[in-house]
Amino acid sequence: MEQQLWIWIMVGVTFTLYIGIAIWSRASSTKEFYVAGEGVSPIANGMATAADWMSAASFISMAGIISFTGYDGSVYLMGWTGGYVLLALLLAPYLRKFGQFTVPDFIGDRYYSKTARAVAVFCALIVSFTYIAGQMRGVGLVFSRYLSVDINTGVFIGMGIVLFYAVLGGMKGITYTQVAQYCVLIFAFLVPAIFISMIMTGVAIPQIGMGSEGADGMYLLEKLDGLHRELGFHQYTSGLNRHSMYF
Amino acid sequence: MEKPVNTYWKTNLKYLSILLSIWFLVSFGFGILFVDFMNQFQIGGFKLGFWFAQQGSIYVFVVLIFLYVFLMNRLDDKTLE
Repeated sequence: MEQQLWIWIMVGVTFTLYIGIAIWSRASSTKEFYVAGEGVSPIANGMATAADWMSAASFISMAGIISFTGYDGSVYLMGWTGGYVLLALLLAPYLRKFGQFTVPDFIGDRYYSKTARAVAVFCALIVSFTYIAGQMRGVGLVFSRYLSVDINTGVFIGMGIVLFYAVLGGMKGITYTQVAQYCVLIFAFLVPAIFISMIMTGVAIPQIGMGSEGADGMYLLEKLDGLHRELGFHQYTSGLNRHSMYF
Repeated sequence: MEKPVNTYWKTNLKYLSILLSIWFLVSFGFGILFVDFMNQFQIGGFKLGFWFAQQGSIYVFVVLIFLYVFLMNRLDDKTLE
């Protein structure tokens, strides 16, 4: 019961925080709604983007797919992150120079074409849909555990809350809620990672701890490989059917 | 004498192609295509190919973005002069 109480307090406090931020940063114009009135500092923007990266979809599915498919799962990791490089190098500078609100707006104006714009809208919809499907499932999962309800009900409650602060605050509200999310998430990611790393290898930095020796003098990754082999999963550090997949 | 706008765009393309080649090399190259070759080497408990796929490529991505911002800012200043 005590654990349940803690969950109630933690989840309650974070959601109150998000909604509070949404109300505080209500959008008052179209410009504010779409681009947060251009008044968000680069650091806050970076934090919001990072929160996107660490959101429910990656928290749940990335960890799952890497432990389930072994090395093959790392293509998702690289693709997921590599996309940010493409975005930063090929799209973001021009979006900024042209002063458009959305990518379809920009594509349509840049190529003087309604068709190009329609294609961009279609792509944006597909991407958002796949992303949100995973995200909503995650939100539903959280709420179904939190309020002990059915997962479908959880999805609806989550949708309601997100809708509330997205419509109210626009991009400004979303950005600042995401900044808050970033702080919560990075804490939630780092604490277990650091402590697991310390307990298993005695190294406080997880990135280094992952490649260190465990208490029995065996490399952690080798042990993980062995465990995966015994369980019949793909090897963690190299996959057998990898070549058939890529060629 | 070329127009400055042209030089600006050409330099931009040069930066892009260099940075994106590195981008491709560390992720697709080291992480997927040459992973078996890279895995012969080992740093600490990591096989090198595995390290690039799981951590190295991401560090390089971050460096690439900062590098591009730095290069373009410098280019902007130079063009405006």
